[in-house]
Amino acid sequence: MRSDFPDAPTPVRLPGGWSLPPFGQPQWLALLVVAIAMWATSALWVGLQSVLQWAGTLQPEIHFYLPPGQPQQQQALIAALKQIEQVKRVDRVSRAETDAWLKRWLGGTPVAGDILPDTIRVTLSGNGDFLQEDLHDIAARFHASVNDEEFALLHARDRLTLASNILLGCGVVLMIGMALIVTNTLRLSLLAREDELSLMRLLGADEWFVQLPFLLEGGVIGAGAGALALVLQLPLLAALRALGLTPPSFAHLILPLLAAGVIVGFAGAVVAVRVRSA
Amino acid sequence: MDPTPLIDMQQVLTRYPSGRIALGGVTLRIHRGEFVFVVGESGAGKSTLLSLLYGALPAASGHLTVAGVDLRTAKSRAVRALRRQCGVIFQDHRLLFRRTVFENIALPLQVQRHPKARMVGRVEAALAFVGLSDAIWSYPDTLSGGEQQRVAIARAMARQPKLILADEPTGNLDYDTALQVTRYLVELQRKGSTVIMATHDLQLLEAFPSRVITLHAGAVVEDRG
Ligand SMILES: Nc1ncnc2c1ncn2[C@@H]1O[C@H](COP(=O)(O)OP(=O)(O)OP(=O)(O)O)[C@@H](O)[C@H]1O
Ligand SMILES: [Mg+2]
Repeated sequence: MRSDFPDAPTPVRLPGGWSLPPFGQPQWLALLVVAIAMWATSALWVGLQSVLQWAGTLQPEIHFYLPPGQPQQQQALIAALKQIEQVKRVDRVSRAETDAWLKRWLGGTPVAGDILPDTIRVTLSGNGDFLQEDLHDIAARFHASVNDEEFALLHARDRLTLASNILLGCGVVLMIGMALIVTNTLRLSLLAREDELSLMRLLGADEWFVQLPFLLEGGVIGAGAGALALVLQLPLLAALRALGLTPPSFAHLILPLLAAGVIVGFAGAVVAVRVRSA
Repeated sequence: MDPTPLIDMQQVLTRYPSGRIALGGVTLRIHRGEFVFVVGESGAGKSTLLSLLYGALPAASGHLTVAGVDLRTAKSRAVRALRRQCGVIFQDHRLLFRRTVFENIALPLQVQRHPKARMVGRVEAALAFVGLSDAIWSYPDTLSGGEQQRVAIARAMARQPKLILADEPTGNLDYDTALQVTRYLVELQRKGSTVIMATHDLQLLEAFPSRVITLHAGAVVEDRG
């Protein structure tokens, strides 16, 4: 600006077009509020993603127990389990392994070897609509029992995925709210400049020329909020990594957060100029 | 005389949203290069008449053409183009007090995206014309009322408009200052602009003999000169 008017003793501010209105307290406040809201949503999402990632590294396993000394029954059970789509692997667990596990579980107390059941470990690749029922049916057919508690992890993963989707939905609602915060701020800005704007229109200014600074202002508030929310993710990512989790990488957050910020700010600005000129 | 008038107004009626009919069937023609006074009592419709001419107010009925633009059917783009050919001095002069004199006068240039490099020259020339060159970087509230009126004139003439609409540019000024301000407008007319000036200062009419349109209660009651 100054270079256009080298003789001006103070910077020259001409309204309209690509010139940005002054960035004052209300603008900073809106930026902060939007940044906090964006940070909170994305932090929850990052947390959930980390937990999901962690849950994914755990192989969901279901154990089947058969009364000992029935090798045919065991063979038939293994064959039946292998028929199921989500079953990745079926292993016979050796007696020694069962023994060791049980000992550890019972805190070192020795167990009489001959009462132990034969154990079969089923490794699953995912969950399906009737998986639990199917596995129970098979167990009943071969008079085996299933460790039902192990289904919990499978369900937890489903719930986490659902929670993460719900969170994204809430994020969209929150974005609308944040856009309205920007709208409100810009309406203050528009109101403060009402005289100038109506004068520009009377002098024959194009509507886009009058409105563009406010659309830019909205975009700047949104982008700033996105950038701030992004920077505030860094400590969270570090903390999650310290917990041994693998959160999404920072690079993966840059584009979504900045883009969401700009969209929110711009949408808020569009509403503000529309409402005003109505 | 130019066969097609710059302003052709026939049976124009103006109604404010409040229902008040401010002009009731006004017919007049103004040609290029004229200097016209519009007089009348307060509330006679002088400001209303001027507002019609640059599309700030719609005509409810009748026929109105300004510089070839039929204002009753024109698209907003055509109205904007017409406004850019007009220099308006508003009754409340509408200077922006948070902006410098330079920014105020550059505003009409800015809205038509005049190259910034040549703005200072234009603004300086306009200010020199009204004798206020020193005030270019001041704020309007540091100027006297008469100086503010002159800044408003400088703003209206900055883009060298064909048509100057001056709504009581000498209101609140002493007689000598009023004479001087009117002299600037007459000078602009001599340079080729059409000037329409609303006033209630009858002494000025004697000092600058020219066409006088008298309004009374929203109707033209006299048109002489
Ligand atoms: N925005 C408005 N809404 C309703 N009525 C209005 C409006 N503006 C003006 N009027 C009415 O229209 C009539 C003409 O007003 P106008 O402003 O044209 O008068 P004027 O001749 O310019 O008066 P003055 O010398 O006091 O400036 C007046 O009766 C006024 O009350
Ligand atoms: Mg008036």
